Order: sequence, then structure tokens, then C-alpha cells
Amino acid sequence: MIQLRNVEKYYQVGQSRTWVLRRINLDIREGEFVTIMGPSGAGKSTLLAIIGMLDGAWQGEYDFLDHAVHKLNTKRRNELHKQYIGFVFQQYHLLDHLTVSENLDLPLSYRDVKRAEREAIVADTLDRFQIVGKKDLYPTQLSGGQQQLVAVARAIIGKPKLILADEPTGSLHSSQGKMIMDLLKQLNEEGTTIIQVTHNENWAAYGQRIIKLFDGWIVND
Amino acid sequence: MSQGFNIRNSVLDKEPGFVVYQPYWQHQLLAMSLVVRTAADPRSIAAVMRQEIRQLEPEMPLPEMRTMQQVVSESVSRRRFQMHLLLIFAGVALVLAAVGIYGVISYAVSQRTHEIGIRMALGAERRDVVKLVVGQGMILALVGVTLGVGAAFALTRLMSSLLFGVGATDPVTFVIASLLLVGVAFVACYLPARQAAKVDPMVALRYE
Repeated sequence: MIQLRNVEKYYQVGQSRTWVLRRINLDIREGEFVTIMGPSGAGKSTLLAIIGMLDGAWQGEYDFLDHAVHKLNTKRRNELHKQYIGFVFQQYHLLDHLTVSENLDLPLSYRDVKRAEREAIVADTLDRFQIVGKKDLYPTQLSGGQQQLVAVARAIIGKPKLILADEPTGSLHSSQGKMIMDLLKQLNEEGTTIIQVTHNENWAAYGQRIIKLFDGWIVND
Repeated sequence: MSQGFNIRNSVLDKEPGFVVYQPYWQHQLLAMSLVVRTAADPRSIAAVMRQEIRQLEPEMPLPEMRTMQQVVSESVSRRRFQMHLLLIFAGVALVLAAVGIYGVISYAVSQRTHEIGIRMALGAERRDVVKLVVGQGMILALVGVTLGVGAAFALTRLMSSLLFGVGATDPVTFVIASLLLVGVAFVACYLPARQAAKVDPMVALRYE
């Protein structure tokens, strides 16, 4: 599903370059649950952003489902990202002025889905995540765990093949964290490929494979 | 006595009224004007006119000669000055409105950088971001134009005495002014929207 070949990224600071990722070679098969670990500044989130096609400024080769991402322009890359990838963030990143339903509708509104169909998908997702009673609430009226639950629901609502979770439990209480990790595990068992970034050894163990990064290099896979 | 002729012999902004023609010798006025109509350029016949008058009445001091265009122009000079002032104020107001809208939308966009990053991470393309920013800006602009048109309708009576040849509630003027304002508002919204669409989602997501 994902093949990275000699992927590198740096920031130009004056005359010198600060490397964030160095010669990343990585193969991830469809249906895998992969954990990326490493200390702060190791390049974990940057790697996730490149895989998620939010970052287009890097060198090397990246093939995603037979698409040569390194050869695509921004528009085509965005289309690919929109079609196949869902994001879950540590800080949930729900829009506070939208209700739970409206937050769930957001990814669908950027796809060619008719309004009636969108409403049906949102209703199904609310039901599936057992948050029907929260549909008209605003994110600030929810607990951290509930907000992350909504964020996961929002990530999968467009039926992505790949979910990228950047420290999805980083702001949660352990019991809420377990609920989210169990949910990710369940989604993985249903066929969704998951790549998560975490500092937590317990949550890392949910993955079938752990990749360790240090100073931009893969030091263990 | 005549009625119904379109004769304005003092000011242009008063409707033509009754006109009474009298023989000069019957009712002599201290001042009078001689009006000459010519197919040629009126200035070109000034010398001929002076010569003719001298021949007829050599003792008479020659009066000032003005073209009818000058007479009309002088009669409306005060109004023209007022209208020019109004035009300048309106222009300044338009520029201030554009700068104001640009400033407000730019500020709103800067406050929403994080939101724009989230939307882009969820699949929004640049055109979606432009549509969002311009759309919300234009809703405000349209509300403003609607209120402004309403206020203008209410206040036009105050300036109806300044207008000539156009009604105080002339629909064409209102439509053109509204379209101009909407156009200016669109440009003032589009520029910050284009900037917003260039937001790097990774940077925006870290920005809170």
C-alpha cells in the first residue's frame, strides 16, 4: 500500500540545512497496524504528514496504492488524500463552532456526496459510535474522550483505506485512551490500515509492527 | 402668455412655469440680454456681432459676450461643486469601505488559520477555502448593502434638491451603486481568501 524510498526532508536555516527525515525506506501493507515511536523531534509527525500527503515538500519516492505520489501535483495529491486517508490528531481538532453532526459532515462536504446521502452517512456513523444523543452538542460540551471519539468517527466517515493517528490518546485519561485504542484496533480488524504515532508503550503494543525513529532516521523496524 | 414650453431662463433646477412675452417699449427693464442662435461655433461670430452692434449703436458700451454653454455652466457651477464634493466623499467612503472589509476579513482569516488547517486536513481544497472565506465575507457585505440601500432610500429626500435630471430614488442609480459596492466587497474578500488558501495545513494545525 505504502512504499517510501529514500524519503528525506530538511528545513533551510540560513546557509545550513536542518534534516528532519533521512533516507526513509518503508513498506506498509494494506491492513497493517503500524506504530511509529521516537523521542520529540525524531520526525514522527513529519513522516505522518508526508504519508498523509499534507506535506509535499520532500525528496525521494513515495508510492501509494500504485500512485507515484512524488510525481503528482498538489491538486492530484489532495484528491488522493481526500479519497483514501483519514486523520486523527492528539488535540482532536474538532471545530468548536460546529455541532458533533456538523463536524462529522465536514469531510463529506468536501467530497462529491449529495446532502441527503451525507445526512444518512452521518446518522449511521452517530449510531455506530453510539453518540446519537450528542449529535447537537458542541465539542466544548464533551469530555476529552468523547471529543476524540467524534474525531475518530470523523476520520472514518469518508471510508478511508488508511487512518493516520498522531498521538490519538496523548490528551486522554488512560481509560478513555483504551477506549480509543480498542476502537482503532476494531477498525483495523475491519480492514482499515492504521499508522499511529505514540510515546506510550502500552498503546504501541496495539500495533503489529513498531517503527522507531531517532533524529530523522529509522533505527528499528 | 405661454405655457408648456420647456423654458428655464434663470435656474435649471426649477420646473418651467408660465412665460409672458411683452414688447420691450411697453415694459423696459434695466438689464437685458440679446440671444443669438448660430449653427457655427458661437465664439467664431463674436467679432461680427460686436461689429454689427457698433454699426447700429456706436455709443453703446459693448456688453460681455458669453456662449450659452458658458451661461448654463455658470448657472450650475455651485451645484456642480457640491456634487464634486459629494463624489469625492463617496469615493473616500468607498475606499474606506474596501479597506475596512479587507481589514476585517484579513483579521478573521488570521483568527481562523487553525480552522482552515483542519479543513484542509479533512479534504478541503484551495477553492473550498476561497469559497468559505469569500462566501462569509459576501454575506456580511450583502447585509451591509441591503441596510445601506434602505437607509439611502430614507435619506434621498434630503438631497433631492441637489439632483437634476435624475430622481432621488432612481432604480438604475441604486442598482449600479449596489453592484459597485458588492464588486468592491468581493475584491476586498477575495484577496485575504487567496492568502488563506495558501495556508500550510501542517503549520496551521500547530497554530492555536
